[in-house]
Amino acid sequence: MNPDISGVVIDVIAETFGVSASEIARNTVAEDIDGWDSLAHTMLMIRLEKRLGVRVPERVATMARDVGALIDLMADIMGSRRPPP
Amino acid sequence: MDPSTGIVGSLLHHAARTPWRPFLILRRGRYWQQYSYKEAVVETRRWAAALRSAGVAADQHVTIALTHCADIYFAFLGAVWLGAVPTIIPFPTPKQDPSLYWPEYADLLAELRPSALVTYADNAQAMRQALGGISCAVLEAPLARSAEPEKAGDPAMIAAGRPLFVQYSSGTTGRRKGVAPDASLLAAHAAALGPALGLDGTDRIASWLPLYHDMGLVGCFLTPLSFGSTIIALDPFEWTADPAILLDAIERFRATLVWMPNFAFRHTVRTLPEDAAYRLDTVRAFVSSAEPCRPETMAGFVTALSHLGVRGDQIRPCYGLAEAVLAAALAPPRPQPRTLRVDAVALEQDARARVVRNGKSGSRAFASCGPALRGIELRIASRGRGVGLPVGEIELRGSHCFQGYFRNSAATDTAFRDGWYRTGDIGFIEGDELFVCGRTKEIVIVNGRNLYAPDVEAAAGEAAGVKPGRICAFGVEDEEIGTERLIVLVETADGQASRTLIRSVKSAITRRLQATPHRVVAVPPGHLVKTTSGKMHRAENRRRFLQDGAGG
Repeated sequence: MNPDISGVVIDVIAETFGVSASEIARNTVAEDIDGWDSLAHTMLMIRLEKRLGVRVPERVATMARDVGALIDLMADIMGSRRPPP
Repeated sequence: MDPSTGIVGSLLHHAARTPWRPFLILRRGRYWQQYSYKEAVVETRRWAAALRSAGVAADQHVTIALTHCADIYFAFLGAVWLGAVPTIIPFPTPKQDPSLYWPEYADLLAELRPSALVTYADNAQAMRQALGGISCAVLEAPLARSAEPEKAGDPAMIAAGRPLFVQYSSGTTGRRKGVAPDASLLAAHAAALGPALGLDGTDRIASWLPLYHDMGLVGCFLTPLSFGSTIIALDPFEWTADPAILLDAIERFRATLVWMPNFAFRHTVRTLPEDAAYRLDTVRAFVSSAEPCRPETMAGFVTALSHLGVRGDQIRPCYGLAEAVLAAALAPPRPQPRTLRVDAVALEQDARARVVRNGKSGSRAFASCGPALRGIELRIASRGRGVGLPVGEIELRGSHCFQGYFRNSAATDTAFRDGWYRTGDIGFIEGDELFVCGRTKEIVIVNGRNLYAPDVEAAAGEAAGVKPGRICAFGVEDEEIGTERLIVLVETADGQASRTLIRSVKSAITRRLQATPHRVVAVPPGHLVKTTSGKMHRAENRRRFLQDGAGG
């Protein structure tokens, strides 16, 4: 996995919820962060999409997992991204 | 609409007059399913036939637990066709374990004693267990194509006074209260709301609202049906993740009417794509209801979407509650929603609304929800004194106000004062226009859903390490998200909360109430204040929480 993606995901989570990046690890789940509900999750996904230049097809489904799974998903999407025609 | 014909009468009437007009246009991923009024009759009869062959008869109850799909509409209508009484209840979200979720509905199912359940095959077992010993047919959606419409029989004549459906508030065990309007109540509501909104058969109502909520069920299903309008339906979960799908639907089908709670206006603005290019000027009214209509939210919506054709005159604040079927008061169309700014101290200490000029510090702005709809009377029960308009509990009565809760005489007894329904909301009336400022009941409104603080506390009390009875839940206004934040204070032995404890408290609340607290805060033993009668003093604990600077 690309360590840069991990750092970006954690930074964006930290900015979105106003917490320190040091408090976020791969095993962090939504319940660990104040305010991380389904609406805030949408905001988070929009920010991640913008920062990483991707579109996440199933924004809602990514909610149920932990931060590690979110990082892996982003890495997968980045890896499979093709340059625009 | 003629009250005697009811819901099915409307369906048949419009199917005869405008058979090919779309009744329902439903988004399924990238595709749209469409049912004309003529096709809606066929689908309704198929469901009626299936329910009838499962043994469902007039006056029996049918419980519908489905996600966003066309069957939820037609199973509901099929039940009404037979004279049976449908209830739509929320389906568990992907985060909720059905084996833990459905036991929470055991009391409700025991109260309804349904003759049939309509759900998906993979959910049926968990629901059956929650039914306990109640014998009940289970019908699986989607309906098998073998269900023959001609076996539906003739539509039942439903006498006045008999419930058409039961709709529950979002409270949990013991606090859920059902309303069960009859045909005359529903007709009186439609007759009052229709002219106020200018509704007719050419209207197209775009909605992502769930049908277990009164604004979804009445505002975006039954009222459009009574006028022969078109429903454009989106999945609430898809909308949450991508609110622009509503804007796409408005443009695609030239929608004329949208109902949303305040937070949804804010969520739309916060998630608006930079390159958004939709045409929204076809909308005659964006009706804001189900939670306080915040002037800043409405103004922000108009500003952020003005380049898409959104104007101030489209925004219509509404005071709605299921006890008045849906809408009790509605602001008239104006260049901008009307707001009044009142002195905050007089409001809180004297229960008086003293109007002050714009921009004065120490003042609060409230939006007008307009005059009462035809047939409804509003009054304010105020004990305040001094200069200004009386502020107090909003009470209402009239032609579409309910008579009492479904099979809940205890709740009904406390709901009325001298024949007036006590809404639990606080407000004032200026001229003939209603302004809502707060509420007396222990309710937190999160994203348009009413949560009862005692329910939240009971759910939190199930988490390991938390002392039952030493928990306090309340709401804190948050303009940024356009709704209330749900805050839960829990006393722990050392005043500290481990990550495990916070996770388990949040999970317990999410599992039971389908709402995640914004924040769970541990406090030391003895920190929480109770009233002299030993009840949790939520107002005081909330005040101290905000004063301690913990609200950030």
